[in-house]
Amino acid sequence: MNTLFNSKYIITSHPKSIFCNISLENLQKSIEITNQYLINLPSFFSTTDSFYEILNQRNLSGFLGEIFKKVICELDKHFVLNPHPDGRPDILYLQDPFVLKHFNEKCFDQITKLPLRSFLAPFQFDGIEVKASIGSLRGLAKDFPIGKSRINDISSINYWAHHRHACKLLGIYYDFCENNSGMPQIKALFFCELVEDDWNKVSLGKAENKKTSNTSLNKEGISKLKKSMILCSNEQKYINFFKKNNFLM
Amino acid sequence: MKIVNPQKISYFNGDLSTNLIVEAAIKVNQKLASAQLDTAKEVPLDIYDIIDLRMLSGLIGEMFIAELSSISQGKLLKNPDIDGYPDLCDISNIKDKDFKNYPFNYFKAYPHGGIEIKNTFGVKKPKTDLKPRESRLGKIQKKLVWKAHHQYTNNLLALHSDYISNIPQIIGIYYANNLTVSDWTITQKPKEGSTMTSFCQTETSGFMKIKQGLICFKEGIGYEHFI
Repeated sequence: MNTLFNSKYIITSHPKSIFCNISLENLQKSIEITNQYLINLPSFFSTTDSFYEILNQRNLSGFLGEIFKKVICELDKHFVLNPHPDGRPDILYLQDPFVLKHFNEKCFDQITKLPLRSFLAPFQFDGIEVKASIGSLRGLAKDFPIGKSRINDISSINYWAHHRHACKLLGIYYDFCENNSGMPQIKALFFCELVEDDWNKVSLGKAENKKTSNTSLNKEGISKLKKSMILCSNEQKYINFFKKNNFLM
Repeated sequence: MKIVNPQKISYFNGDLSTNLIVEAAIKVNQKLASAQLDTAKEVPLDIYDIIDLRMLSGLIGEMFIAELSSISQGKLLKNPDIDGYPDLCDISNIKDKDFKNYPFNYFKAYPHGGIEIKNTFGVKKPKTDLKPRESRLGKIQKKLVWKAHHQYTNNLLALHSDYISNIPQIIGIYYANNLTVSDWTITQKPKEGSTMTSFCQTETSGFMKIKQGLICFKEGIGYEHFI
């Protein structure tokens, strides 16, 4: 098993940041567990140098988000993964006994026990949407193979979605970490409350291709993101980027 | 694995014992089984609950390439070009083994022969309820489909995978060295702005050729009925 480069995280508490139901302790622990898992995973498949290339950049952000969601739900049993494949938000907050009862009794078909889209997409009570981003490159993607750090070459951090919808966003920022053999590692977390108007107009793509519809945060959304960093790696190059781009005060 | 063809497979400029192919499949299956093990001390994380089928299928193919390359003891090199063809290059007759000395696009279409590897989990029958990580054998179409980037794909070692006791495993291996362009559907090219890669897939004629070249299959799971 490989050793995790002991990256420390700064707790940032922006005065305008909103309260996240997941404790900072659990968020820090979730980062640690996810990062360690990301380092170890390739060796389980004996494809050390190519595991994330096989997965490729297109899938990596989603994959990383999936791991992080699972870890959060394991550490805090008040959260459960949305059981519907198209469900939103991604993780549901079931601390309130009334909400828990609603979840158990209404959100699954009574006979087949399958999750019901009508109650889970969207879920009408509290929850958190989890998304991961490696940032928007200034240069060409071909010059940044899997494993090469991008922090010095990104222009911004943004998040993508299929729909413009209000949500509580737990945003992961990750990079390929030179101190851990180029493995993807979480370097910062954001938490903010978004409204529909914080997203750009949905791009539908072309009818003849298979690209799904998507949208990203607009100026207002990015502005919220800049006030919502809750954890950040203490490595200087990340601090420099976040300060330069007004993510850190 | 029950070996149906205990001989050799041949391709342009070389051949390979099927025993090595079976050995590679057994090793990949062992690694796939061990990869499921819980790794985090506090949190159970099962990779097969996280990774989707498309990614998993590609991963199994890549693992098999790495394994067969290693078992071949210097005969088959994993193509150093990520877009190169074929996946495994026969380097037996190459004198200069320092591949940095070769031109940038030398391995794009490697001229000295080798083997291409593709994997499939099969195409689900319409209106079939298939739960995650459930065995697919009785619920997929009889005609297996393999995807490739080019219609000229030949010398194809075609893997078939399925879940056994919720763990992905290679359950059948076929080989065909007589595929032609018409055995593949026309390549779909990505449109501008799309992140899709181009691909084509086996036609019925291609499937029939591949089916003739069964090398081995997993016993005790009903594969005899499938083939």
